[in-house]
Amino acid sequence: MLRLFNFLSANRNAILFIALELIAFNLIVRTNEVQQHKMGDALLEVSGEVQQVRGGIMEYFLLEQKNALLISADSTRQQELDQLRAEVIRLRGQLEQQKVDSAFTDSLVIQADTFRFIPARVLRNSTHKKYNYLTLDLGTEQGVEVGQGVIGPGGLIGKVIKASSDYSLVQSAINLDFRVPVRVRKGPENTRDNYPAGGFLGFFKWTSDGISEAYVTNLPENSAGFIQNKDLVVTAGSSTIFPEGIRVGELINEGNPERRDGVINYQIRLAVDFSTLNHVFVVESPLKAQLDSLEVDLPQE
Amino acid sequence: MVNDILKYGVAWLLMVFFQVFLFNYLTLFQVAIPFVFILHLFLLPVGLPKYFLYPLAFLTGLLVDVFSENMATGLHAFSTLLAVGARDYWLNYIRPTNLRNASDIDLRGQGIIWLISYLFPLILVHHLAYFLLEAMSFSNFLLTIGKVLASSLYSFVLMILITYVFYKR
Repeated sequence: MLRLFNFLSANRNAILFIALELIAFNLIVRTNEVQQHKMGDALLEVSGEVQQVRGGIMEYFLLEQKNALLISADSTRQQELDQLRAEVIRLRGQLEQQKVDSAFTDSLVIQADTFRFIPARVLRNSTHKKYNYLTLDLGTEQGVEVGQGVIGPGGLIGKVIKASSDYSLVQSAINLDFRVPVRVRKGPENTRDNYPAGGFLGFFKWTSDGISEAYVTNLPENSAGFIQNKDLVVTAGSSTIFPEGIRVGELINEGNPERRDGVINYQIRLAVDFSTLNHVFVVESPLKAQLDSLEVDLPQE
Repeated sequence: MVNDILKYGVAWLLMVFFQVFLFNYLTLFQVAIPFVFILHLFLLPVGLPKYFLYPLAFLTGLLVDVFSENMATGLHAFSTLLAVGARDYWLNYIRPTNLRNASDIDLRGQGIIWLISYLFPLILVHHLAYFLLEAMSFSNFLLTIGKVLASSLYSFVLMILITYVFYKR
């Protein structure tokens, strides 16, 4: 016993060294890649504060770039607005002609005006990992809840997976775990006839091939005859997380189709540049609670 | 004595602060990241007891880990402690010639040759451990080694600059 004690005492520095290294190694293994997911609330709060300070400083240096971006975004908006005006005038004309029976308006689809958009700032944003996350400067105090969607100026961004009182953690769309139902719709340059009006329903999936590429999976086999480059990929709107029609991306490389078990996967380019995220919107759906409460008693698998 | 503690304490704080807010973002070509904060641990007095030095290295690494966007928390804690452990052995081999009261390494007094032979292997140990653990495998070994060498060189140049500019007597 005494010998053992002597041995330990003589090697106490080496033992301390090895013990600390083991702790560190254990930490690495346990936190690898998923550390932010499991990060405690307190730690999220602290590192949120730090990132806010850093974000403030960085934002100052990025002002010029942001300005240019805003100006170009503004001109695109103006163009879109003009197009929409023309469209409205055209539709009004049609409406007058057809005398549409208002009793038949579709009330099943959740409309965009039932959603509220809360502007938020991105404090931290990872893009180079397999599981990417964003930290936002809003938390439960500002009405952010776990499960809400996040969209940006370009389109879909992610989903809130953790919220403390003042900060929230968002699972980025470029995260291997991220899934959302989407629709492939006829793009402006598509020349195929008889394109189904509802488009094709599938799932969005990112495969860590790069921050601008992803896939739409589980599309029906017959869609191959219709799709072309630049077909739009938008949210399907079958959930309360995202409104219908939020832009996700567009088809590239003729979809680079990949057939498997009677379904096809297509390659897409993401609409959002995830490397330059700064200002985003958290999607709040007042109807979510109602819809969720309806489904709560359903038997689970 | 109190003066020394204050001096090293402030330098430590500044090192961690600049690592987290500045050096982590000074990446070169997506390959080289400078890890400069370890310099301060290498410059601590030689006579410091190990039961203080090891936990300090561990906690410094952990602190940088928590505020860095790296792959896993603990990468810096592990590699920093390893490098500080290596420093003890390394100092036995290349003892500085003009130790001031055996507790201070007078880096500027040692000359550039000694500085290179003292710092560079320790930087290599830290960076090697860090990038190998980050990759968690020996696949892409050449890429990892490339990262290690590029980052080591980069860190080293920055460290030399910092020692000559800020560690004046």
